[in-house]
Amino acid sequence: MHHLSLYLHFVKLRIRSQMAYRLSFVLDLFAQASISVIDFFMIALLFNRFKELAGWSLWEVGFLYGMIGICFAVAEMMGRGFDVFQRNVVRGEFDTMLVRPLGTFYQVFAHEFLLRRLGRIAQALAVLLIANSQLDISWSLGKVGFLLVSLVSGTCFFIGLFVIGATSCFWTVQSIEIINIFTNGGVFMGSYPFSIYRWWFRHFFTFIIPLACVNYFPSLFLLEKVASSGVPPLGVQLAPYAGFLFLGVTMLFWRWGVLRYQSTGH
Amino acid sequence: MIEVNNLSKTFKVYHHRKGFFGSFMNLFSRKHRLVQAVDSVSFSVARGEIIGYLGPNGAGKSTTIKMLTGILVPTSGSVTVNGYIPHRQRKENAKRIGVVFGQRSHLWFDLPVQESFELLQRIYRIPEAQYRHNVEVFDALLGLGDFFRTPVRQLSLGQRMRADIAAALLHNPDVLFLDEPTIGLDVVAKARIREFIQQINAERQVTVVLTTHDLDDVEKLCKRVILIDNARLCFDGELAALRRLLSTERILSVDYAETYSDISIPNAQVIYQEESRVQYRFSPEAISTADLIGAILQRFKIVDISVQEPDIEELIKTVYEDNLTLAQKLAEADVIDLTNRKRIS
Amino acid sequence: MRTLYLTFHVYLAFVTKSFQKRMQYRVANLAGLTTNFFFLLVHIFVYTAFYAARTGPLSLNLNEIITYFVLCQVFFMLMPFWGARSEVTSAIKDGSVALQLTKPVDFQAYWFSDECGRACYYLLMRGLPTFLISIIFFAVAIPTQPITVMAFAVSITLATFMSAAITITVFSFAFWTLDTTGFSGLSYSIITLFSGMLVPIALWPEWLAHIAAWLPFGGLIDIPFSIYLGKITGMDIWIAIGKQMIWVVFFLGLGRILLKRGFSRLVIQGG
Repeated sequence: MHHLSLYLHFVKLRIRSQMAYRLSFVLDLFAQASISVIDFFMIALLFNRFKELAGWSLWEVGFLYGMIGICFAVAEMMGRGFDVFQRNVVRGEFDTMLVRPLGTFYQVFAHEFLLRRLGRIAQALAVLLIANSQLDISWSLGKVGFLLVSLVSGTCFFIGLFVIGATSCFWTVQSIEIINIFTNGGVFMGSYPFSIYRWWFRHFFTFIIPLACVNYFPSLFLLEKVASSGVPPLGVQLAPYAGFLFLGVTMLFWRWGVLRYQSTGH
Repeated sequence: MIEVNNLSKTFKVYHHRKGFFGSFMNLFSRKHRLVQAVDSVSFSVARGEIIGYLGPNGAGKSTTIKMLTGILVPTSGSVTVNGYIPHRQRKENAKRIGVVFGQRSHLWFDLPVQESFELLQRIYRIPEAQYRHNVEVFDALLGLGDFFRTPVRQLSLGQRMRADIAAALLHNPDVLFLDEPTIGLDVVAKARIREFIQQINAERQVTVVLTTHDLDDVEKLCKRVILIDNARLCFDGELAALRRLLSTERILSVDYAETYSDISIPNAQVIYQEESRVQYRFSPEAISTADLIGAILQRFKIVDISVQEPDIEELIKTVYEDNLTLAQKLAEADVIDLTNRKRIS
Repeated sequence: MRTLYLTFHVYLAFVTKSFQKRMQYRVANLAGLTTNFFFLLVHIFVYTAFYAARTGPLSLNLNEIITYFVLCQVFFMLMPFWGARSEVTSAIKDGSVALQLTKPVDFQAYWFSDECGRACYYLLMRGLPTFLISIIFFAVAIPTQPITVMAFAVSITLATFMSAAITITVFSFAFWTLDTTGFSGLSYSIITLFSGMLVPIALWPEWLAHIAAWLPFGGLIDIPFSIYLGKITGMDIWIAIGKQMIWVVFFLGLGRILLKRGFSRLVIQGG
């Protein structure tokens, strides 16, 4: 309870300081949304030329896009502290966190909150809602719950990726760019149905880095494509929990990394 | 309060090749070497003590402090602070210590001091009464009121340091670690901070570990000092003892009643003479102060006489600037038995 | 003549320095290479799937598309924005860029040299390996006509110059706005869209391709790659290259004006 109220207090302070330059904030929000609109516009361009992709229509792909877009943007908003962690290490701010009576994971998490990602969240949500209106999905309470759990779990997945990137800062201050493959690259590849990828690529992004569990498997269920996809139904049902598991594993990695931290300047 | 036993820390430092070809080679392999930052250091600090932890840059001062505060995990050896092992029981330890790093603030850059304090109140779960009492006391001693509502980024260095020290004490810690608390401050600000530390130490029995370059800090605050050089502890004892050990030579100044032509005294060297004013340098081992004064009184009439303790700042500076390491210098002077340093203290 | 040579020599030194500076980042470069291949693979998977279900002929066949995206990854780091971000803009923001005024070098030329050094580095350390590995794994088309190769070399060089000139222009806005991330992010999106980097312009609907033709950004990707693939031939090659040249001059001029204004603003306001 103490941790939650303290977290909310941190977020309140962050939001207040970001709103200090209101005009710049609003422009940024707008820029963010526009950038994402261009993103989806590209996909629409391709569908204008090709009509379908491995049996998926534009708005089915739009559903995939909306889901992963929301998860990633929320993860960027909330997990920002891990995303920019390199800066903390270089400036020695992590030392400060280590002398406070709170967990390091908690402190890094609470340290930043990037409100301007709301622009991107709004755009992704809009695509998801439009896709929904075009697709005629038969919603039930169970399906709504399934979607919500999937979104939360997908967010956890991306935060987990940021945690891996942050943990690597304990060894190299050239933060490993490789994480971008899974974050930005993950959003890009997750915007298309996984069936178009080769088996080894698909398996890697299912069992090692569970990207497919963020939106592809859940969408198969929600769009009633499980039977035609050849994916085991049980796997589809369990998919939304992969993100939680992934975050848990990265938290252990983090704990292990903190013990190997070598501060700056002796 | 603090127990340190054979504490060591080794860092891995990566090595970059220079030049065009070298930077190309860096793409493929990197070499590293091990740097011993702290090498089997042992000491203990009792409750309510103020100790000065001194040494030249890169000697291992900060690394030691970082191990005592739980920031770094020791390579070997043991540390306990308040009975806690800092790197294992980091959060428990953190509740009972206060830390100030002079080089950077622990406060939130874009928040006013007051909000930073309130945030700390929440983080450390400080009871409202205690919080208010502390803010009141610190305000009275440090004059926080002038800038209590100013964002930390707009504070002057002196104000920031006052705010940082107060912040580190809000939760009534048992131990206060101060790493270069007066660095870059003017004389007035330094004096104010020293006075505050002294007062807090006296009234609350807070144990203080102070690292500093400023030997004024040490002279004003610390009875006991620990000297570290090249990662090794090379002195642990009273400041006065250090002064004795480091300086085998003293200076005697005399104002003679008249100007003598031959003022030489055996075992003492004239280093300054202006009319009747003379300074001798002498080593207490060659001639005791009393004997020297006796010898002078036998031959000359004097108006005034005084013996100067050497300025510790000067002394340590010469030691550091020497090619000799401090440990060597001390060993050479044959004044300290390193294996028995605990007995000396 | 001699002063001209000496001046050139100074800026060449900046190019070399910029190149060397980047040689230090071993891990980053390997990560970058991996990223290149990741995006290349995803593009190839996506287009292969799209082409499998196509109806009717297209102006680019699958092989050409694959070649197009291989080239995209080879020359990816030559595109605007990938270097200047941190150093120069933070220098502008904190005002320390004013120190540049005390140096006897032209700031834009200095920045431009730095960008060119960056381009050389990435061409050699990132582009070349990407190209060589791609030839092994994918069916990459190689031009056979010497004139095509020559024209492509000229065109991609002009694209690099244009990229440097655009970067300088966009980041000069740092003199006016505190936070350039939103603005530069949006510019980046628009520039990459109309350069044809995301989806080849040849696959766009006609109305949009028309707009793209009137914008300068096709000079970054679309023109050089179309020359490479033999989609632009004969006299059209020289028209396309002429178009690139005009835009390079335009952006250099625009950047020059902005920098001049920016610096005078800095001097008047004292940062």
